Amino acid sequence: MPETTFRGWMGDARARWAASPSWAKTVALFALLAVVPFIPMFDEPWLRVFFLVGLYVMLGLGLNVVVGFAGLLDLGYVAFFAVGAYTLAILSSASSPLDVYLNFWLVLPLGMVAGACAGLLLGLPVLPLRGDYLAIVTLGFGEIVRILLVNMDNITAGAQGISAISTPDVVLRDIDDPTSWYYFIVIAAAIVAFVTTRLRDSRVGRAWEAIREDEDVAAGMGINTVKYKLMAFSMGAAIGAVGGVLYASQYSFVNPSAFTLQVSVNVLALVIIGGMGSTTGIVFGSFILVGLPDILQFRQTGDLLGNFEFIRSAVNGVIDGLDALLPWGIGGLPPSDTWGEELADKRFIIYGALLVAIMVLRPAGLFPSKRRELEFENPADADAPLRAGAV
Amino acid sequence: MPPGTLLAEGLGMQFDGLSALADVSLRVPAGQIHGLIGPNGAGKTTFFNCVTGFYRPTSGTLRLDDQRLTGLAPHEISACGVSRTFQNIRLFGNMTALENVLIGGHSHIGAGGAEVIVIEPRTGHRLLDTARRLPGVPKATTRGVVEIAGAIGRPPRVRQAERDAVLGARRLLASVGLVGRENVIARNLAYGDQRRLELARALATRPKLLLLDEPTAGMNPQESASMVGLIRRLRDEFGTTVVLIEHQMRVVMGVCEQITVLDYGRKIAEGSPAEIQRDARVIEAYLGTRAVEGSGHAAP
Repeated sequence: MPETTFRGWMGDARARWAASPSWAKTVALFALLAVVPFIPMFDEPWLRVFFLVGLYVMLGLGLNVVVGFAGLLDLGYVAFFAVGAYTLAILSSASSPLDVYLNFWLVLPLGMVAGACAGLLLGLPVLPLRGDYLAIVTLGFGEIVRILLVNMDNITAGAQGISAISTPDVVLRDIDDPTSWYYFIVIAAAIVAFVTTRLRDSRVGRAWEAIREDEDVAAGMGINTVKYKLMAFSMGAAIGAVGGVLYASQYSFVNPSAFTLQVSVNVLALVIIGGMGSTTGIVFGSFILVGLPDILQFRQTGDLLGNFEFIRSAVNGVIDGLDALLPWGIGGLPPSDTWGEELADKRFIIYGALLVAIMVLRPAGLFPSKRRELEFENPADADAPLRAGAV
Repeated sequence: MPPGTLLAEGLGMQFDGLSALADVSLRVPAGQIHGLIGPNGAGKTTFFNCVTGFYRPTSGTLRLDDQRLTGLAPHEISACGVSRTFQNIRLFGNMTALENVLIGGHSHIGAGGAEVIVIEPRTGHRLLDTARRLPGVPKATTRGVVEIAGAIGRPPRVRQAERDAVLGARRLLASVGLVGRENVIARNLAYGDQRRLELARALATRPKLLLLDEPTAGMNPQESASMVGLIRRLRDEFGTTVVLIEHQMRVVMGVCEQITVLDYGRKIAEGSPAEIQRDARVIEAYLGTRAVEGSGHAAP
């Protein structure tokens, strides 16, 4: 007999989800993402928040290649984001000091190459460094890039920034409204997720993992650690640069103040909150770190809370009862339609408390990456006798 | 004659005035199981670290057949056919047993090369060759890009290489007696199994010379005996030269064909197990001068 309780039904659904093939999950996920803009509640401000969340998912996936796969702590990831953004700004905008106007699709690969080169540039001097030392130097690298952006004003227009940056067009449709950008970022993030997953499950990903586990032994087993560390840096940087290109195009304006240490810290934090190395974790981490502070400000959130007048009256009833017993007054809750504003004011307190709570309750992140079991072709031939040279 | 002759000439290793190895010369012929013994701190592990490139010897040369090993990076030495295990087991603890062995086989798994991204072979290869020769672009860069492209695109050749590698790795795991534990996380394996896995990982690099650092440390007599049997069997099957550091004299005398004794970084004796057991200097190094004078016929 199937259980008819809600809990039983939830359990069934969860088991069915776990048992369904990965393509089915992917299709279900994309169907869900595709209908989001048609839900009336999700108006333009929501879609803008979703764009930002998607962008940070991309950045998180990119940084995860460096930090999660290869174990190289990088606190200067914003540098590659900035390189991508400025590549598009300088090469496509009419207001940039350079007299070049290239199409978005032409600049995208250029931005990737520029990002990868910046990754190599960072990677080369930090090769012998590990752990904390690596973190400090990469931190410095991020700052150097930002300061260069401010001071190289003959190319970057300095602190005043570059505006009117070109947008991409896809099959005769210009990507310039929040809905189009939403779809664009979903697809871009999906491609990046595909790429990083493929890399993880390859010879390259395995080499990165070995370096993360024990660099000396990895070298002793024939892995060229210099090459693979540089590959991790430039791969992560290239993804960060693509994120930068999309960011510059969507905002259509860049200036150096957008590329502070805060971005690096946010991206690293969402990778850790989500669970190092896991794609699902990065998506949820991005929602909580990037999406939530904005969502808490929305009018709808306030309206939603306004419906909880009954909680207010219940709590105030209890308080009144206590007041009657106590010689002093305790006060009472404010009207529930002001809760939204309160929430918006205090959102960073709530957000900070939430992060602390997550790290206390789930120290390995929300969705720690699971070990993947390699599937065997046919179990029978493992028993085949070992022959010299068969390995 | 099979390859795998190790030749050390006047090998020295200085650490800030401390001499860990001094003028050690050694020849291990191909296919031999050679013991390296000596009291604690005699420089045995330092010798291994010099051979595998973890340390850069301060004097002397190392050769494997005609290949000079001194001055090469660890991964290059591994490519020359030298592999090792560690005294304090150093597996990739969070990876599965199978993945550990796949890492050992890393250099032998096809990354895809040019075939990966080339659809039309002839013109494609020519184009790629041109790209490789681009002025100012190091070859390693193009190779890295091709490797990443191969990992992302995962064309049939790469799939096939990966399948073959998994099959080879499973055979190796079977040969050291780890069937059914392929997907166990390395750090969750039993101690003896971890030692076996280290051996399988070292073999996956297809070594001509295998350096085993205390392969039976911490094992009970039965486990040691089966490890000794395994080492001998692997040598017979793969024809690998084996140098092993060992403290248990039963193991050393039982499995080694030739033994070198180190003390304070110097070679003090070399010979067959029977010769070493009779050597006065060895007895002195192990038991001290007084003991030798007192009893006259102490055996190690």
